[in-house]
Amino acid sequence: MDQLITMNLVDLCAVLMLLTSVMAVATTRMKPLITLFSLQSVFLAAEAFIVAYTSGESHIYIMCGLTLALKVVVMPKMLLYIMGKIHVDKEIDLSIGIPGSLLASGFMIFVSYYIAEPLISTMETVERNCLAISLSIILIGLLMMCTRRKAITETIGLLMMENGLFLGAIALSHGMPLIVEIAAFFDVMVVIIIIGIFANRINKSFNSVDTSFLRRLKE
Amino acid sequence: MIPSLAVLIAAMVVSSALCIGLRRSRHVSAVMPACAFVLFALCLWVCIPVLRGETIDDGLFWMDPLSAVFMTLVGFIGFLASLYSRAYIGLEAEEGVVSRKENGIYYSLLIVFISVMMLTFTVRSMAVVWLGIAATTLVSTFLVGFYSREESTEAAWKYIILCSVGMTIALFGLTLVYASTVGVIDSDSALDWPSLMEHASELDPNMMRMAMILIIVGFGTKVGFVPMHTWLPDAHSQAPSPISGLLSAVLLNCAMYGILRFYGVSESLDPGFASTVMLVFGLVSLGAAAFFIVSSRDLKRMLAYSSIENMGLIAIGFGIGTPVAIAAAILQMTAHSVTKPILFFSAGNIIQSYGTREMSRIRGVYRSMPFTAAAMTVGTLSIVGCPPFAVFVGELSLMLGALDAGMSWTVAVMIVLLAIVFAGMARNVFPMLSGEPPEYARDLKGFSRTAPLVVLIVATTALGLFMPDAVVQCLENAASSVTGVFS
Repeated sequence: MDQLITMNLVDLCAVLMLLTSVMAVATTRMKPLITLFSLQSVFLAAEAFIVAYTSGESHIYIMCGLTLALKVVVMPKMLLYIMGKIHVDKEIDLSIGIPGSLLASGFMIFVSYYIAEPLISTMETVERNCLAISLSIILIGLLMMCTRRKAITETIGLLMMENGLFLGAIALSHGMPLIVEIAAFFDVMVVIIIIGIFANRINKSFNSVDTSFLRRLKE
Repeated sequence: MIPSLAVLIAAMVVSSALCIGLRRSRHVSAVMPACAFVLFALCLWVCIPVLRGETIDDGLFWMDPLSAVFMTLVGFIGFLASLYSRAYIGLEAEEGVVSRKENGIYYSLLIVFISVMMLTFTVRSMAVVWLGIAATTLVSTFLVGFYSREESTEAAWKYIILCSVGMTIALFGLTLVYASTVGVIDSDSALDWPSLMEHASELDPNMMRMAMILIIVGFGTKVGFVPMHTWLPDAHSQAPSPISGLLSAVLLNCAMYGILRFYGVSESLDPGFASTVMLVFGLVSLGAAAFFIVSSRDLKRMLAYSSIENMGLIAIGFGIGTPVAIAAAILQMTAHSVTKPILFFSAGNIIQSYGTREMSRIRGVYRSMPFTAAAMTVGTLSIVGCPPFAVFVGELSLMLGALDAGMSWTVAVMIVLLAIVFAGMARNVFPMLSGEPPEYARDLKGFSRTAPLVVLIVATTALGLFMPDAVVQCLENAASSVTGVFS
């Protein structure tokens, strides 16, 4: 009975994360996109908490705390601050329309389950869905990075890919060795990207974070 | 702890702290190359016994001949690039392009960059290797975007975003590797190279196949495999020339090292799978790079595509997968690391003198800067595989390895593509050297400008002509630590 509840909770969090990813693809405004990202991070933290509680691996609690502090609070605040400061256009620039993107996301989920099928057939029941879902979130994040043209949306795509990755890492392996260090490193890296390149450089030389300016270097 | 390694790591910390501490001073440009030289000397002290076949096995640290080859190259090229920086950045500082503050930041980042690359090759756990490779991206981004021009920022942005995506994918691969070890290896040491190699044949093959694809694609983004290469020409062309040389010669190797470790594990579990993936990426990269080399107009972009071409050749060597071919691939990698900085450093001289990277606007280098033109000639002939230079030996042994393995069609494709590369490089480079120079072109002289080029030219010629037995032995040892698992 206990195991059944855990399994359902783990699956629930994973599915909610996937849902926020799909919703992020369908968003056309910048602020809701950032909110969706922090919501997804809340679910990731919840997932980490459940896994840590049931498996008794105490270092996953650290990851849960790290996610809550950095991805739920600090990074969205920072992104919003930058947006306010440099007047980013509130609309998201799409190179593929919403229906097309949603269709592509659906296809990504399908592909993920197809790829993951031979792997999960031999696995224990608790993690069965998590591998496929984390792969879907990574692919959808990649899709967002490819089809959204602004630097901020590219960063959010990367952050969502990371969320998918850590979902996989927590659920599949109950936290592999060094996972906390890697997670901390990743978060620090993204913070440095945001502070270092965005706020300072791009702002200074172009007065906008629209990456469509990033199309100068060509053959 | 092994004393030499402890001293090396202490030296890294001290020299980084020293350069960061002196960043406001004028002397940092002299102190930093000196620190890099000390690191190189200490790195030889650590690596030479390992290259002879010993293994350092000590807590967090673990080195075998393969990591020692990579580390020696980092030390060597790192020192020469720091020395060349003294001339290159020094001139920019004189001209006022680079401020005192930026000068300090440059040297501090450079010493940290070199140290992080070296550290990556000393550790035991692949999760730490992953951290090291990711950290090199983070440090070098600021070196790529060093000039605050619009193009440099764009290059740095593309570089960090694409490489972060690559690293994310590679980390997912690592997670799957870990998942495949559950129940086989104790979870604390599950990601250590030695235990992975020991238990390679007991891992879950399905899981490992998927992990291998993710790892080759992920780290391959940073190696510059086509089609994930798009950041590479931008970063190499926008970075200051000493950094371009360092990126091309050793940073790409760092990511290749990540692939190689798993390649060994995967080949012993599932022979032929990882090597096929590598062969496909290698041939595609070689083909695409050959095309881009012919059509480029920007000098440094052309050199960047030539790096992609060489990474393709190295990947083909691992794709062939026989011990002979693997030794040839490691030789080719060493040859490329020694040769490519010649081209980037002499390109740096030309660019500083002519003020442009457009090859059609550069003429008469032989008249205006004879030494640089000679170095450029040697570098070009060397990188396209003319005898008697090192790359020639590397390419020849790759082809012999392929013939040996019965892959004659691979050799045929390689010969055609290498001929295209040869024609493209010759067509682009030699017109720059001949003709009448414009009046504003001046010769740039100085010890730190010429010495690195001389050292590198001697190295590439010596490797091609004599190939000391000791070096052959080292390369064979390195190759056997890749193949050791399955031969």
